[in-house]
Amino acid sequence: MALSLKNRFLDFWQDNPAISLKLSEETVIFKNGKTESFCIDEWPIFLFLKGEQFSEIIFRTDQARLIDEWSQRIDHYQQLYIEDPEYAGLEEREWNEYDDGGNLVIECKSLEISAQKKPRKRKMIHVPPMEAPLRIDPAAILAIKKEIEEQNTQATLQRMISILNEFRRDSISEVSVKWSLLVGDIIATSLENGALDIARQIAEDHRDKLSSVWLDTSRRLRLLSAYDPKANEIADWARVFESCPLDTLVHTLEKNLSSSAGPQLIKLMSFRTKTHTEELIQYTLLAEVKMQKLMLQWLSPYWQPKHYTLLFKALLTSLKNEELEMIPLWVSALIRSSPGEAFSNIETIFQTKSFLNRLVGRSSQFTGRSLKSLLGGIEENVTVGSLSFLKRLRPKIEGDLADHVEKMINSLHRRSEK
Amino acid sequence: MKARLINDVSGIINCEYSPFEAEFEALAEIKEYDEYTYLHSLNVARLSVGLGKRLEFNNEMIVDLGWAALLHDLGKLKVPIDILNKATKFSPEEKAIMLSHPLESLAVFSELQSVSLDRLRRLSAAFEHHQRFDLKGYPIVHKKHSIHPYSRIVAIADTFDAMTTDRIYQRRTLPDVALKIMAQGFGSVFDPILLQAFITSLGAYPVGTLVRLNDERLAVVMNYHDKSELDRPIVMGVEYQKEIDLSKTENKEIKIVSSEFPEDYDINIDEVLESNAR
Repeated sequence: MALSLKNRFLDFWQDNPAISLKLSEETVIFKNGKTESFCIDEWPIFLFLKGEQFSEIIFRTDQARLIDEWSQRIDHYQQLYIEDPEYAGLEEREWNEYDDGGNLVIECKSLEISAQKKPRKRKMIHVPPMEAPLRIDPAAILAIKKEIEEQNTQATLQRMISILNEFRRDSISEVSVKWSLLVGDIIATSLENGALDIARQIAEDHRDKLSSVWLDTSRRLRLLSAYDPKANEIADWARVFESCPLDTLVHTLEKNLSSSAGPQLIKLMSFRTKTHTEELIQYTLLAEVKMQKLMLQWLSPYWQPKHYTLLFKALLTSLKNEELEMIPLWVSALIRSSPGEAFSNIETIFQTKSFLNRLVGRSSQFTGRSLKSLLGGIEENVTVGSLSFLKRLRPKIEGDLADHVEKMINSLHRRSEK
Repeated sequence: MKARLINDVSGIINCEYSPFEAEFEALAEIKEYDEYTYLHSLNVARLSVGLGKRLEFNNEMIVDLGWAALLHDLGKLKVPIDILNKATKFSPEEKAIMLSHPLESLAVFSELQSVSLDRLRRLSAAFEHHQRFDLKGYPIVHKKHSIHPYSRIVAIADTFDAMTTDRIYQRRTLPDVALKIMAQGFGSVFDPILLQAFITSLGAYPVGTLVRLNDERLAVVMNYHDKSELDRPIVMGVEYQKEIDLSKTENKEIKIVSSEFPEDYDINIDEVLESNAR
């Protein structure tokens, strides 16, 4: 089989002007009347025309320009056909050539074959065996196999990055759930294979597409548990989760602390607390109680005087709502935020029971429980001012509370003597 | 349907069901959506795996290649059926939708199942099989990288199968002509080594081709043996059921001049091949 090297029909035609080419018979009739055979394999455009069910090409012109335009157009159709044989035939294709006066100067005559009229039906056709002699340099085959074997993780992931970037440029596809999930999966795959840089790059480049991932529990947990960062990697690793809503993260932490993602959740929350402190504080102050209980422990090192008013308001709310477990936590936060002010305000609460009763609108029994909770908070957060506060408080209270305060004072004394 | 699917796939690649459950599920979606695309995917897989076996890929590569081929048109699940089966010119919008199917392939898979590294590798062909060897195809990639060898094989198999399939608006191209046309894409559309291997392993006239000899006889290409020239296979005369080995010296004057459509002569090629096999 001669694989053709001849592409420029015009060069041949100018030396050998023809009036007709019969494609099936592979004969050419020249202008001088001679008929000769030609090897259609050597003329790709005629081979293509034969494949398109044309039987004969008739030339009615001498104009090189027209011949050239026609042959280049046919060659272009061939290229389109090679690239997409399934749908190239749907495009409008002008097989003939016309001169400036609209006269038909090159005619492609079709074989008379009726088109398939039935809807496109297909059965499993015979796929020919591939057992003819291969005739390929063994070294070339080895090179291809080696190329497959060497398709390492990085190569595969870089390929995916290209795909995702092309998707972003594509004007037809819109951001959708499925693309979000795909981006998430590729990030997770990157992390599972130790490619932290790639994961971070994808997460940053496509952060606007990750919303559906964060809503998908299994994918979210997969991402979290995919990689356990070392201390010097946490900042980079945490950037993968930059777009995860805080609320989602906190709920995940609450439900999955004992799961395989637990250690990573702790690392992520610690990092997020450090880098987004104010955001977490605002979130915590407005969150439901069980989330507040979870979050306050993360925030304890970060309270400052500027947070005091909000914290005190939160304490009063907990007192009003009988959230006894929250009271010590708020007290702890208040003391860390502004110890002097905290002790002063708590002392006022103890001294002005009527204030507390009016606040909570409940019985003295409740008031007693609340006050004990307040003391509990102080007990858990011993500071320089704790002992002097308790000593000031002791004379102003009676009963169980007084006993409790006495014990606290004694305990602090013993501690300071050690 | 699951049993048929497993049967169809096991005829092509040797793999257990459970490690590839997600892939089977994806293939089932294709079958459910469009039978034509499903059968085309099976054929592309047969051709791709056939080439892989000739190149002596190991079993793991064969399985990966097989799945890459089986799922290469997964993105067509997102092309409306009326566009997929259209027999007239596409509008610009329809064309854009059709051209987006490689891009949609990966996303479609992730809807069914989380992807892993192995799956991403197998799905590369779904994205790359229209990109061309010289990366001038689609989807356009702005950062150039070499196309995965599986994608390069699938591109060849996909083109050959599409060319040699009848359509409502167009008759198929005969296999030998298809190979010659594809040869115009050496090094541009197709990987030259892989295309050459594909052509030579099929032979210039693939088994099952109806050919006309220079003495006007019709014959069916039956086989090639290891001493056969590319265009001189063993053929079986249609009228006189006699086998002729064109590579033998005594037959050197006999040549194949053209290929023909069997249906134009009411010849059932499958029957001819089966009776010879008996």
